[in-house]
Amino acid sequence: MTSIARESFEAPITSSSEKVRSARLCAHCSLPVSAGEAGASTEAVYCCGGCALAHRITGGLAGDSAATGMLMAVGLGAFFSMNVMMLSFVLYTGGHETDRLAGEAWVRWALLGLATPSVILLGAPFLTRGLRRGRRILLDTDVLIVLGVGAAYLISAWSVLKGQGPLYLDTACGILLFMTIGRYLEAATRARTTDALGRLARSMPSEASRLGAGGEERVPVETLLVGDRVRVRPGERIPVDGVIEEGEAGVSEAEITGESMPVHRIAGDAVSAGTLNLDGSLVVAVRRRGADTTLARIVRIVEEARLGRYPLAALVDRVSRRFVPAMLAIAAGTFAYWSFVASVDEGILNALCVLLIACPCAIGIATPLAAVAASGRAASAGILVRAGETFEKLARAERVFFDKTGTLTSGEPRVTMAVPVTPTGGGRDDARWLALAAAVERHSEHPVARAVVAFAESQGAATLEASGFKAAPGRGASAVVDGAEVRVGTAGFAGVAAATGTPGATEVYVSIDGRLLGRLELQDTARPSAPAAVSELRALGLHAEILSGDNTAAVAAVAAAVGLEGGAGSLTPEEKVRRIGGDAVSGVDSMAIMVGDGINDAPALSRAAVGVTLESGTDLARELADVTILGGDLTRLPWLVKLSRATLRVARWNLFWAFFYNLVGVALAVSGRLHPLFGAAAMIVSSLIVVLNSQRLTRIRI
Amino acid sequence: MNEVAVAAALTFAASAHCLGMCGGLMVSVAARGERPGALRDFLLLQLGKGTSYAFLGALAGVLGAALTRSPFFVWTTRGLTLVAAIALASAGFTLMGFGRKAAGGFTAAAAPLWGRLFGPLLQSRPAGFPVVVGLAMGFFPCPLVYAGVAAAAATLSPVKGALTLVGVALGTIPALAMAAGATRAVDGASGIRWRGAMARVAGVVLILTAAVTLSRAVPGAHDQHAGHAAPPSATAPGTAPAEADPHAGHH
Repeated sequence: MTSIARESFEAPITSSSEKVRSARLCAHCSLPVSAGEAGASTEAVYCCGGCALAHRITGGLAGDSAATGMLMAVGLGAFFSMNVMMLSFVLYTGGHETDRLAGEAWVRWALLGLATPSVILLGAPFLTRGLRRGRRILLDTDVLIVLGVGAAYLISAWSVLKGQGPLYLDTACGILLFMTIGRYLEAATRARTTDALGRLARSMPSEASRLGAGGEERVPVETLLVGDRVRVRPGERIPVDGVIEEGEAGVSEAEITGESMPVHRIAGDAVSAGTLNLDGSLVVAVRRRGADTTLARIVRIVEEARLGRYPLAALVDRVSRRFVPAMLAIAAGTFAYWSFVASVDEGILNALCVLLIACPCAIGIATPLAAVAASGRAASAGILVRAGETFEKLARAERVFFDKTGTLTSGEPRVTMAVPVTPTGGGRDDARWLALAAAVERHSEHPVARAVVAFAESQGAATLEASGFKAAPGRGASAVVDGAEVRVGTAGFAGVAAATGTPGATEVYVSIDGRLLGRLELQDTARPSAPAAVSELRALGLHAEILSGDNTAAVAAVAAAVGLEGGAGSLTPEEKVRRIGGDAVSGVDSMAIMVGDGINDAPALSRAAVGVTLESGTDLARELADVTILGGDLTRLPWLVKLSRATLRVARWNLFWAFFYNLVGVALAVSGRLHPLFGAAAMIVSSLIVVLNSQRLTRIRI
Repeated sequence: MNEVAVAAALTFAASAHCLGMCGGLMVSVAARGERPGALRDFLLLQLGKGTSYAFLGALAGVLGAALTRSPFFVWTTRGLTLVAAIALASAGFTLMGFGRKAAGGFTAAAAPLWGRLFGPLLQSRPAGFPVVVGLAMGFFPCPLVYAGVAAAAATLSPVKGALTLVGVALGTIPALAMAAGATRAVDGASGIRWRGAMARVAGVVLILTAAVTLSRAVPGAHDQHAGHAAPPSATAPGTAPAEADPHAGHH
């Protein structure tokens, strides 16, 4: 399961920050393990006995003595427990035969003899887990089980020695057996819920076909060096991050971006490890491998997110800090009351029942499980969420702000209008002035220059040679073509008079020796996904707005294109922050989502409750925001908001089930209306409800 | 002790069925001649399996007994007998090949789980491991066990319920011993044909037993008893009416 897949990743990933990851995520279900418990050990840690058991059984290596030892302990414990319970059933039902049987001393001694190994075998894991917590033992809920079962066993043993008194041996054994099986079931189901990462990790090939002097050879991915060339055949997964040197193919990038449509990749394009080569033979030059690849980073980020805070964490913290002491007090009160009004036997049984039913296992996993399931679901859709609590903030957000350039727009301007000066001398073809402009701009890397070259080529302009290229940052560029100086840039730079153009458009003038040849208008075009994303966010009740440093007319143009009423332009970073609202000092939440491009919008992104950035999907170089949408599809944002709302709903229901079970159970136990065995069974049901409820998040349609 | 005999006889009649799932495991735990102590391992496995069966039977008996204390007393016993009849009949039909697809699918789905559970044990074979394998084996999905558990519930007694399932366990032993001892006889082509024929015969036997049990569950068949609320016999199928006073549970 997860563990096996992860192990192939473990080595490279842990090398970067070993302490955080390998020591603090459960090796079976990948939920966080509290620091006190994990200790400094570098061995695999488990969040609960169930995970340890499930992991050893299902993921344990064949011949692993620890695995077989554990299995045998549980199996033999179950064997003895079942005999104890069977014998006790007979005693319980009453009737002439059984009454006579119950009076026999050997029956009692037999029960004790069967129960003792069972309690030792099944109880030891609970006890050692509790003891390992040292001084924090009072925070551990297993302590309730150990106390309850221990008391039940000792009282019964005393009764057997005396030859009279109550027997709770079946209760002691039954509870241990139920708890062990329940923990196992819970752990197994939980691992499935949190397995999304395992699926990602599994899509990483472990071998690659390296092309060398001696031809092609299969080598482990770890032995590849940057610059090596690997062959990727149709149907194979690309083993490294790299650049295609030869060939072309449809590549499915679903693992990285969540986009199911294949993308056509040709020589010179970047490809990511873990993506699937559908139909071409490729030669890829290695750029990054192993732990440095985008996919490995995604896995790492989602794992780190699991160590962060979880939704409704404050509430859960407050409750659990007082839980165990409170339950111990209630159990003591119950014992005192029932001993007084009925008998010491009754007091013991009811107090026992309080201890056993109170174990808030379900409360502990209620919200982390929901968040982990959601983050796995989001990751497989190409969305990285940095912390569990981000889901809560997304669900509660009221407003969403967009940066314009590179967010709502593609960030790549396009020529939207070309106005040549009407030739007066005649004879000159229409494309000649574009060819001159392109000759200059071909030497520049500026987005505007690239747009001009692309436009000229699309108009069939000839390719001319230019020399003496000079760039004037922010104004334009010039060069000499056929002995004349051609300038492309602002009106001032080109040395001509400005014309009145379309509001919001960027104007580019082309002049030769100071004489105007023509004027180009460029506009940044809206991302294809932007209008749909905006209308979906609106439908979700979010107020959407543009925050941009660009001029107001440009903002208005984009706003119209994506369906927003308007937005604020010409904003300084401080003004952006002010508009987002909230207060970092007083801790007032802005309840806002800011979607921007990480670099220019850093202050706004960090002020917003949730900062969202878009990434191309092949490069995760920069520091990440709370949410990173890979692949640049803006409609993933409303999808994520819906997922977050579903997550919060599930987390609340989980908490409800967990608390409800405890309140009802403890109330029944205090009033003496609950048998401890039913309490233990109910506890398993409560945990399983929470697990299954969370599992829905990995499947529901959003 | 009637329960043991009847359940053992019926299960023995149907035990060709056991060679499929349990037979294979039997070979890997206690194949004759493969290693010393095969007999000991075989018996330990039966001990584990028998414990699970008896536990299930006692549990069913307790639940049956608990139900008789409900106000729907008469209907409880009749209902349990009816359930027992249905369980027997469906076990019979399963053996005859009807509905095998569904059952096979379930078994196939569970197979990897069992494999993972037993893998480490079968490889390192620690002392006493057959008990644990047998214990888990007792919870395998099995129509014979389901029929036995339904019958155990209808006995309204944990003792009789446990004994019924002990009977089921005993009834499987000859077939399983054969599986462990002479794998070729059951694995070859003729062995498979033989198993198929035996399974069909066993299916007919179980369905006939179900019919007999059913006749006891139908109101009116024992009208002379209904007057003083004595339930129809709900002991192991095919046995004589229960001699115990059903009101014993009230005392």
